[in-house]
Amino acid sequence: MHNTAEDIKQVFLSQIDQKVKDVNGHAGHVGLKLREYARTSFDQGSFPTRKDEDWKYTSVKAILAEEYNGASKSEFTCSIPDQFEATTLCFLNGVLVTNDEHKTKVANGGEDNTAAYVSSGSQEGFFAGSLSVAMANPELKETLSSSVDKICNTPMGIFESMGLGINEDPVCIVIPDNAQVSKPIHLIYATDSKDGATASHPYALIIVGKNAKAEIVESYLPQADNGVYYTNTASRIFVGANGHLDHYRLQVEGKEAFHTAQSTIHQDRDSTYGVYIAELGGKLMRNNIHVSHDSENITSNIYGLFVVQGSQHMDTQSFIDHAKPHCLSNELIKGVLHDRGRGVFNGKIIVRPDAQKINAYQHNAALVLSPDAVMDSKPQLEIFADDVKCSHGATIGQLNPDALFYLKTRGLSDDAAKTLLKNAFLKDVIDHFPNRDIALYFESYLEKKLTQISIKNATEKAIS
Amino acid sequence: MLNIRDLHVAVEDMAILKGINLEIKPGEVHAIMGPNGSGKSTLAQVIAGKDEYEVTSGTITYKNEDLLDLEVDERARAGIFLAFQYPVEIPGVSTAHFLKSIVNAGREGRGEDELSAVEMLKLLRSKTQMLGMDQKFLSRALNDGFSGGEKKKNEILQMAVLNPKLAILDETDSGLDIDALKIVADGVNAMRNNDNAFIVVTHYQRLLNYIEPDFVHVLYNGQIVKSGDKSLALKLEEKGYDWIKEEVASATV
Repeated sequence: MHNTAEDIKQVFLSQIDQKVKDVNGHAGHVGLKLREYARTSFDQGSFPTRKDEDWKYTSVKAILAEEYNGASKSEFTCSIPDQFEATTLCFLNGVLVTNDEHKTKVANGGEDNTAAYVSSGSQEGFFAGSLSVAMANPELKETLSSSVDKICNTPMGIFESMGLGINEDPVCIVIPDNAQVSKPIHLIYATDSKDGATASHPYALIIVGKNAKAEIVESYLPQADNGVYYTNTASRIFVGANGHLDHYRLQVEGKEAFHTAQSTIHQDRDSTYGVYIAELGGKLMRNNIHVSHDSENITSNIYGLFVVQGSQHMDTQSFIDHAKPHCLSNELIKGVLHDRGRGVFNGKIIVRPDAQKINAYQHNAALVLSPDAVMDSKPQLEIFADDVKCSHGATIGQLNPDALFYLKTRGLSDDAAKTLLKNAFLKDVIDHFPNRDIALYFESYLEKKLTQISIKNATEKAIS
Repeated sequence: MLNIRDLHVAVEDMAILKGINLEIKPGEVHAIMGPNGSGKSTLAQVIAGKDEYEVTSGTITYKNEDLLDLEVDERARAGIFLAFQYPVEIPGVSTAHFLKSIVNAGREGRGEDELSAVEMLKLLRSKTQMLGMDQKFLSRALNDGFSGGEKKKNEILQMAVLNPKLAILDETDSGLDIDALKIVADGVNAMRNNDNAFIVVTHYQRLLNYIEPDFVHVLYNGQIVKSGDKSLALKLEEKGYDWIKEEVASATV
């Protein structure tokens, strides 16, 4: 059976229509405005093909060819990491679930015990729960409405609009003005596709107020025995004046998983936003990061690593829109590619005419360790201001043979020496993570993957 | 322990070693001296197993095994250690983590259990103390931004924790000030016993004042042209290599 792109779109559109109808019952629902905007955006858009410049190296055909009918009702079984203490929200197939064992200790917001809420009066106060619960809260109403208005005034891509349209109830995190949240907020997404392919569309609305500070960790973890599934995640992030958000993203989806991610960040003056990424899992992954500078003196950091093996395909796209003066952006993306793996990095930076005195640094480095692995790196700087500092670099290489020999003369096997050097190469990225405990959490998954690859290589050598 | 017979080695078809014969017994220290480009470092690297060097003929046996048949890491785990002339900088790997990995790799090779964290700490602490090194050294990235002297000390530290049977010191003394040289020599002397052996490759007689060799060999133009005891090193220091070159030239005429 071969469905056309238009047929596939209609399937998703009917799902969105169903959701719009469901929500319509609640009059005045801000969620309805979002969903209707999503529907319009989705209807006007179309799925990208490789003829689109931004999708030249990544085809979404395989994602769309699958039928996602599985609706497993099993339990959330992922383990919560012990490397750091956090306020944890667990999601199964895109839906916020409570897991009593792992229930956070914060007071909850009324009837719905899936929301973690501490009154905004306190220093530690924040909201983390579903959007519908947040909107029922008078304290949050104004903040939410203005953010929703902003979302509905900016263009929305096909995947984000699909996710927002279909999502049951987006997750919402609000850090009120002046709040300093000491513990990270951890969103753990797990998918169960035992009963057939499933698609889930986690959507997050994150608002960090003026002078507020928080850390948010997103983990996409596999549940056992997973087959084909699709995670289409999107987030809208607002960082208020002088606010600070450190955003971590760990992606270790199952072997057969498709994953598309879109995060759109709006930063106000004097704010800092950092995103720290490890892409390790999935069969096909695409991550779009779009940072726009709405005011002056903004800092944005993007530090990411990825490792591909087998026929994994990972595509990271970033777009930093320097629209205002005196801002800074740092970007470092490093990858290690094995087997027939494929990596793509497209780093777009626009420096608009008003954006004088900005600094923008971008570097992409990859180790391509197999003749069949391919890395496409595309720095794309468009500079329209004349008094700025911008630098970019892309390097593609192999492991240093002298270093390898040195390590082996100390008794490390070929595989152990290679693993050590790959770790060292990627550690450069992890060293930029502001939170050491979260860094250790990421490192544990990285090490697991590199060890698996090393064992696989050793076994293949032994057989041949 | 090590027996080199008529060893010929080439790099990209250029002959570098042209018939080396050398026998090393447990408990011995052999110094290898010689002018630049005579093949000293090549000999050291061939024993360690660097694959750019092609052994065109001859044999090396180590503990009655064919050494040339072993991989680089197998040689290391069998007790061969090469202290590099130019240690490689590896950012991103802490020295402590590296030392732990190599100690445990060696133990695994001998079928022993990994050291516990406490035992490992004890080992690293005692060896750094022996070499008069600061503990902070261990938390730095391996050789990354180290001074020349620090790199050489780090080589000796690695040797000390691995406790090899045959250690080859490739110009470990070059670039060292006199204090660092003493520390390095003290480290080697503390390790000397009747079971292990050392090959000390050097340009200068100076090091041999501190590490007393049983034999001194002069390598010239890919061959050992003269062997003697430590007095040979003194003579070289005094008279240079020209008299040896002349001897070789007159012998071939």
